[in-house]
Amino acid sequence: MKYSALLLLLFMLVMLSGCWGSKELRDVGIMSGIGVDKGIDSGFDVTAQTIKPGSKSDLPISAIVHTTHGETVFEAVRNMISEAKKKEIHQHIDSLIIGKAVAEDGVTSAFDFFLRDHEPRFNMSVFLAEGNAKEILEILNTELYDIPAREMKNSLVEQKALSKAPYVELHNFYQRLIDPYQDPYMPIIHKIDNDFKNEGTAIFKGDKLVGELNGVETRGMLRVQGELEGGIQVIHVPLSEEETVNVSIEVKDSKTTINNFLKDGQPVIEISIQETGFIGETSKAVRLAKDDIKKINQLYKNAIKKEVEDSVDKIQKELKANTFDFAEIIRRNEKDYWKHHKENWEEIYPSLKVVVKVNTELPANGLVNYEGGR
Amino acid sequence: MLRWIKRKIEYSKLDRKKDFSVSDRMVSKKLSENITYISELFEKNSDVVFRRFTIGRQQKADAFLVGIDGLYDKTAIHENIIKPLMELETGDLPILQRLETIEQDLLSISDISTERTMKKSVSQLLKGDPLLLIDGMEYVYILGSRTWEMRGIQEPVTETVVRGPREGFVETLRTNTAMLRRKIHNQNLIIEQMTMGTLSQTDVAIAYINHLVNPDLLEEVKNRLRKINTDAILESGYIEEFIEDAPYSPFPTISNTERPDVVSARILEGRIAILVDGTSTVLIVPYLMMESFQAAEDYYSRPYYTSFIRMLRLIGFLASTLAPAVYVAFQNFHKETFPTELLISLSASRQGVPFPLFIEVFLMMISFEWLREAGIRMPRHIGQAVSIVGALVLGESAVNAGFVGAPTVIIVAISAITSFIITPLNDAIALIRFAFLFAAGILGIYGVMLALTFSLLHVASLRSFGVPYMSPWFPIMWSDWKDFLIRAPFWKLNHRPEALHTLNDLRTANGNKPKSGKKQEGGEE
Repeated sequence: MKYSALLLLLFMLVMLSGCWGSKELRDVGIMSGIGVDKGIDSGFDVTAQTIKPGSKSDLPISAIVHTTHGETVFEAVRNMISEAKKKEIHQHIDSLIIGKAVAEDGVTSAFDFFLRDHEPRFNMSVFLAEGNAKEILEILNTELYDIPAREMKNSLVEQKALSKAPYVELHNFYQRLIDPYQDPYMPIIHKIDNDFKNEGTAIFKGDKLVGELNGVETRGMLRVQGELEGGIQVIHVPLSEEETVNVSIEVKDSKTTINNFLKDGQPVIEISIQETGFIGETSKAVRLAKDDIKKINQLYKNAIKKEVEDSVDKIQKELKANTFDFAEIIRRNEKDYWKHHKENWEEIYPSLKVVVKVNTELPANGLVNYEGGR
Repeated sequence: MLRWIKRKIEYSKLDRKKDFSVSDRMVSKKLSENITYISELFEKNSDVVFRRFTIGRQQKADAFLVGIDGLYDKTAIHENIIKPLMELETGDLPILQRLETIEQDLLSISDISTERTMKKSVSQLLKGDPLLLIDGMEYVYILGSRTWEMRGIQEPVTETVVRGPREGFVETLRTNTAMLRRKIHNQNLIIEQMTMGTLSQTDVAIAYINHLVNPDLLEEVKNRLRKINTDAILESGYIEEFIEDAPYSPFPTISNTERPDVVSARILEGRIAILVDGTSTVLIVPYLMMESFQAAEDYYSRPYYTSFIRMLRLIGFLASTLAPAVYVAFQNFHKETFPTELLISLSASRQGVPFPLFIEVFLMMISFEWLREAGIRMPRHIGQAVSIVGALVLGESAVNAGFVGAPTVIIVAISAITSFIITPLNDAIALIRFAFLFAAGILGIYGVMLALTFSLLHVASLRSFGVPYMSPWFPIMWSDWKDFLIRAPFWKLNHRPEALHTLNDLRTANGNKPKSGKKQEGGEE
């Protein structure tokens, strides 16, 4: 009796589980990148880049691209089976590319599948294609990359030292999307000849694309977000009336704190940036005395300030997108004000006063000091 | 059908209670009666040597010597027994009176005893000691001169060490007990002997340290041994199966070794060894699972590398049991667990492979078991053939021909290699990894976890002679952890294992930690 109960329990444990998803690896395709475009008449065109493993280790790995049409993204994705002749698994999708037309209409309809389904992972990178997603995914430059879609994500990680495109994963994007006082953004991917390039940021308002930032504006935006991890700031230092020298400063460490205070009953946002840079290059053989470094530092400070102010102006005043977390900061610091004004935040936001304070340090000027003949 | 029933009835009529022992009669005063009795007992036996001779020069008495050819020292018997007896000068004394003292002043053999019952005498004869019977005497002389051809002491093939003693037990019980005594020169090393097997009458000895071993444990071991009622004990494995705690478990609850140093160390910890005549394998009880991660050499080399390798053994054990199962589960059910690059190369190796992954792994594991069995059973001379077939045909060619994927071969090889690290659990591992593989093939990692949970529950519920099998892990006995995953230096191993509840648990006094000496002064300039 005791044993039969135990056996029954074991039987139930085995049978009541929903884990019957055994699928041989050779019978599935590994999807690596996926793009969503607007269909010609209606629905979506979905393009997928699937890894095609060589049958032996000496054959090169490559990718195959299929495009299907469906009324919804899921339908199009499932239609992929008739194209690829295999069911594809979505766990290893690294890049999700949204066509510009889809982004302008709103990305929710394109993204829902990737969030709702259990297979795709939230850590895939999201991109906005300058044109169609399809043409980006059709870049199969096997001389450069085995699997281009993987390379798109990797190159974005590498670009953190350049800071001309933000690194955004699906869950980052989604978190900002569902927050009523935050708006998402994503990097832009361009097609250049037979290659791709990440540069710039697509700014969304809600789930709709409202504008784009170029590389430098992106850097300004990342500074405000506190996500700047590197980059080269070139400043022009006047030596005399005619002569200027270009100094490249390598950004080493950038910290941002955003505060707010009330001035005449109106909130003022104060962005304080503390940045450390190294002098990486001067275009002329100049000896950098202490005063010169002070001067460079001042110019560096001004350059940052201008860059940040430009980005903030563009996003805040022109695009009116809540790309920055200003609402959250006000909510946290000024509870009373927020209580009364949160309903008309959309009207307050564009006219919000933003002050940028920059403090920089230049502790090192490299291995060269042009002294004593060297 | 009828015939079958008839046969059954006939069979049931057979006298299965036939006692194979010798009838319990006393030694007769008349030599001729004894001779008739013994001759009848050994009527058809060709290897029994009978020798009739006459004692004394002046007064004579008939004598009879019986021995088993090949089991006693013929020269010693001839020189020290037969010759002096034949040449005995009795003088004026009546011969029988003279003969009463021959034990003291004539029979120059070191081990001699007398026996009045026929049963015991014959049993001694069968073990090798010749019997001397003299007309007119009510007892038999048992002449202890057993000797036979035996294997020399060699290093055990199964348990080799780089550093440490190279002697191993042999098939003779007396030699084996002597090896133990040579390691522990103390009267408290007790070697108790008993006879087992109604037909084989095998000598079995238990060895332990008195005043140290837990008396309850000792009593339990003796009880279990006494309960054995079988006709023959040919190897210690027979005994193991009669006395083990969990006969249905794949996990052994009794350990065995061929090394006297291991046995000595174990009985000094408070364990009990069971030595069986006729085999070089000695049983040790109780046995804890953690002992399978220990090796003799752990105690002969310095503790650092030993501790490192012990942890590797534990990981190896897990790898050995789980690697094929986890491989199948991950690849068939949880493809997201692999990094993309790894999945791509796995996928590449799976292209064009004919069998499903589960079948592929299963076949490879079965072929490995075949190879292993062939390696053990085959005659030494064709050993090369097996390795060629195994390595080349199964490994290389199967992959090249595209029958199996290379990663499968790697995984099965890892599982196989690591199972050899933990030799005591080798059998158990070989079996349970198949169970794990099936669970993984049906249910994925969920199945593996299920199987793992049940195995853990099972192992945790085991006991070896009252000692929890998983201790000191389960239940936790912190003081025993000093000699578990790590091996602490000897000056830190102050106590015997707590799990064994010994009577005297102090092993090493405190304060034995060596200190670096002062700088040496003087010396030649």
